[in-house]
Amino acid sequence: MGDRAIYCSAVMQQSHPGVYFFKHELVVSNLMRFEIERRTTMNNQDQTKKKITVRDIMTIAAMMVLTLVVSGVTGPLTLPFPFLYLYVCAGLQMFLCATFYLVTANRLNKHGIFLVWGVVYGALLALSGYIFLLPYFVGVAVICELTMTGKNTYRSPLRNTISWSVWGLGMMIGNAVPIWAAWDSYVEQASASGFSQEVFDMQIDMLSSPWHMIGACAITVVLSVLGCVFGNRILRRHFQKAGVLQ
Amino acid sequence: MSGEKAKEKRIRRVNVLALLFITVCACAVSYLAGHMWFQIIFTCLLFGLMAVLGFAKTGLGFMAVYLICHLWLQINLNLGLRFPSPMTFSFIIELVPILMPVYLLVQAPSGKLTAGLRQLPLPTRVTLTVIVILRFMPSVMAEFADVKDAMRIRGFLRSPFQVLRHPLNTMEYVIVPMVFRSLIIADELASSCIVRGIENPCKKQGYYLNQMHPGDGVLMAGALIITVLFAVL
Repeated sequence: MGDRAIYCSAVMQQSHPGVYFFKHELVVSNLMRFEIERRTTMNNQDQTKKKITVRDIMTIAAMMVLTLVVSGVTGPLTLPFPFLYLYVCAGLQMFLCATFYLVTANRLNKHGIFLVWGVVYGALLALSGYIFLLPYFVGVAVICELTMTGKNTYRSPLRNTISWSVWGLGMMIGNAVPIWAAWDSYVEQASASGFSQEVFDMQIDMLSSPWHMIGACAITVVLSVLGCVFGNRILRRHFQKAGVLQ
Repeated sequence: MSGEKAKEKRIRRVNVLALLFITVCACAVSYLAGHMWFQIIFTCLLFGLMAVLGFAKTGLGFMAVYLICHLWLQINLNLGLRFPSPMTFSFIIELVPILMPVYLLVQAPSGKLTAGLRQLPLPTRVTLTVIVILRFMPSVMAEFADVKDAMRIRGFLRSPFQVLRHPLNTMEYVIVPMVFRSLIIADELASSCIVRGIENPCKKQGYYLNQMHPGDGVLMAGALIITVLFAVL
């Protein structure tokens, strides 16, 4: 009770600086300083909660490296099989990389994760020649951010699954964007590279027929959702138990 | 040891932005070159640049992959083989000339890379993430090798059949330690950056200066002329 009284006095002192307390004056002034420091820290914490800090950027970069390594492996592995490359590759990447995204999202729980993720991914693609994919992936990241509006959404398994599926759809359509953007030069280059008629037909079917595109998108979404289910299970079993994530 | 130092000295002299410009030129030639031979010539020139900067051995590796893919593609075309798909080879053939300048870019000291990227109109967060990603890659590879060894010792990689029979378990055994290790490295890197004052809002000055020398200008002009010629012809 006494502590509470002193605490109230400290708050009073802060709100009414002209009022003096004769008893416990030293204690009150110390508590006042403590209270002010506590409030300042809280304000700072609120600010850092909104901003993405260096530690957050390092976490995003670390998880993105793992994502890029997995993408770098799955892409060439599926390339010899045109059906897998065209229809399943993006979904497979989403399935395998969902855990990395979920770790980032649950650890940081801040808006802007997708924006940084999308801009960096687009920048890396631009560095490897696909410059026009940078604005595309920034756009996809903005849509993903919109799906995450609200408080603590980055710790909600359902919202994370939705946004990861949207990102997966973006990746799926992103694979077709370079071909749509420069179909003539693509056909010319592909003919010189010896693409068979079968592969050509498959690509034309996928890009021109809405049903094929919907099928490819459905495969991607299903694999993204499965990836999130698997990722959430891993998060619960390992990372939350270890105290790395909340 | 002295060879390594000389190599480091040479790559330190080159402007990061010049390397970035050559990467963009390589992208343009790779996708827009009118004839296959133009791309081959450009790749040979890039190999020459790598050799001059002291990375002849790695450049030779890139060239070997590039030429093997070209040869294999021709064999596939002549014999009418469909496996492996020609898509694979065309993908690698397009990627190798781009990876060569990217490799040189990654070899530049991280301080110089940071100084160079800071000169570009990019947000600090994006620049920092790109630099960390470029620097993180080798560490992740080393960590993965350790995880693989640990899995082999514990008998999780006894046979490919075992891996294929329990793919999700295998995935879990790889993903969990990799994420834990990566998070530890990320935290250590973040602490190191904070201690060095990265969060200070003042204008930063690095140990390295990314100044443009006449040699860089010649390199960029040469790359531009070759790119325009190969892309237009």
